Amino acid sequence: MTQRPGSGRSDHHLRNVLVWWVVLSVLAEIGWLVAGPLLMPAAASSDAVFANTTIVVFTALAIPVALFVWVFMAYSLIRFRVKSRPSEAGPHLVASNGQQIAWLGITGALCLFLVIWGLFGMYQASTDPPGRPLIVDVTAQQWTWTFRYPSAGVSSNQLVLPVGRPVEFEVTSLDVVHGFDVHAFSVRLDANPGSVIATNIVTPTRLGSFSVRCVELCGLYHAYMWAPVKVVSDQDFAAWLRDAAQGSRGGAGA
Amino acid sequence: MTERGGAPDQAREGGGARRAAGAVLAVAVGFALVLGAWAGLRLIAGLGYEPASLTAARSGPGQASISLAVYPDSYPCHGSASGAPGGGADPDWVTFCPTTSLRVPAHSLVTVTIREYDTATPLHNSFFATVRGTVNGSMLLNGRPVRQVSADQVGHTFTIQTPPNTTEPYLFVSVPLVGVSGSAPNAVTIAGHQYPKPNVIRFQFRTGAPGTYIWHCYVPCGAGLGGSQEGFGGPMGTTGYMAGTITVG
Repeated sequence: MTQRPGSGRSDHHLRNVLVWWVVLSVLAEIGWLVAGPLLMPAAASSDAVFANTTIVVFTALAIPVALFVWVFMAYSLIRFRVKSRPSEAGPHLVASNGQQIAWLGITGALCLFLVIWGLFGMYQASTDPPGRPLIVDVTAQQWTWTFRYPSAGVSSNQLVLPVGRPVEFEVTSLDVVHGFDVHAFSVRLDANPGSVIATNIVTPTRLGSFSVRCVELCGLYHAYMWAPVKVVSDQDFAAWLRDAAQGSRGGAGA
Repeated sequence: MTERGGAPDQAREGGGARRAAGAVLAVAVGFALVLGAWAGLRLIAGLGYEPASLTAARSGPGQASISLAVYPDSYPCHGSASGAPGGGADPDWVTFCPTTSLRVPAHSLVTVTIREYDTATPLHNSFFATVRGTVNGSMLLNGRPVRQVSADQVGHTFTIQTPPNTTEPYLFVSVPLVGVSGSAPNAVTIAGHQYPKPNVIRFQFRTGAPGTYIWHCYVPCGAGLGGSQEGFGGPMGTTGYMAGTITVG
């Protein structure tokens, strides 16, 4: 913004603001790039890793933009404060063509980058890996999740998956709308009564324990509607399937 | 700054007084809202009806037992103590009695006996027709061990779940409670009301470190009772009837 052409005091203030902006941006960027990845939730699939990376990168890009506004505002509020109401209007501000083109160009380029990044991520998420995925039927009801492995005839209240094997969840609800969310896999969609919706195919990429949560308010015990997720080795998964199948075949009926 | 005499000063002082009064009023209203919310929550005792706890009786070293019953209405434990008709606010609601707040010891073998007086409602999810998480993966139904029942013979379930974000050991126990026949004759009188001879279900599970768990019935037995939600409304969504807590420790 141009205040009065040739005003030395204006250049002085502008220089101060820009110095503050650059210093704070550098400090904030360093802090975020060090601490940001540590704050991200566990990622157990390539989609989840990409989601976490996206958050880190987008925040890193947003920091200097946000600070640009905040530093200008804070500097103005502090440096140009007065105790009483001013009796005359401030200077007439006129932006040059070059400044406007620079502002629009920089912000436009940033937005374009974000769009391309997002499209790339969506393309990755929608590309199915080769081979047949493991199908898991997910049933939501007030207030629990149950999982069925049709290929093995096994049902469970825990979601157990083999590492490195693609899996597709087919999700439905028996009563109200629930939200099926496995944050570690970056999988989330509604569980609707009367319909079965398939998620994108995801591949668990690391061993560990995670959780399924309901993310759609569904009644009194919505907060308790969760289930453990365990990603195990192929051998452990096969053993678990065998044990679960034996357990479900026992006993006489009533 | 141009000084024009007293009028602008008086205007500024009047505006400042109004702003101060507005700030005080906003704080007072906010405090009143918070106080009202707190009082309201205390009035309704949190999520709703929260009955007193039933503590499991010690039956030996590291062993305890607890007895419950499930009725097709609320008279036995939501009515008056004398057994006169009452049933609380919703006498036609199915309910577990004497309470839904249970306390069992930690690191113990807990034996649960449930008398089922209600008839069957077809399960939406056959997963709950199988006994899960108990000792030996089975239960005793009228003295006979079973691991699985027919999904259309289940009256209610007693299903214990672990809350999320907790440090207590993971616990999942689910037992189908076989319903009595719809044509069974009334054989007992409880709280001034008659019920058929119950099915007696007994099972055992082990507790670990102290913690708090929740339990539910997962049969859609709330159909037509205070809301739809495919049978999970009414008593199914109200503590003190078909859902409660188990405190271990």
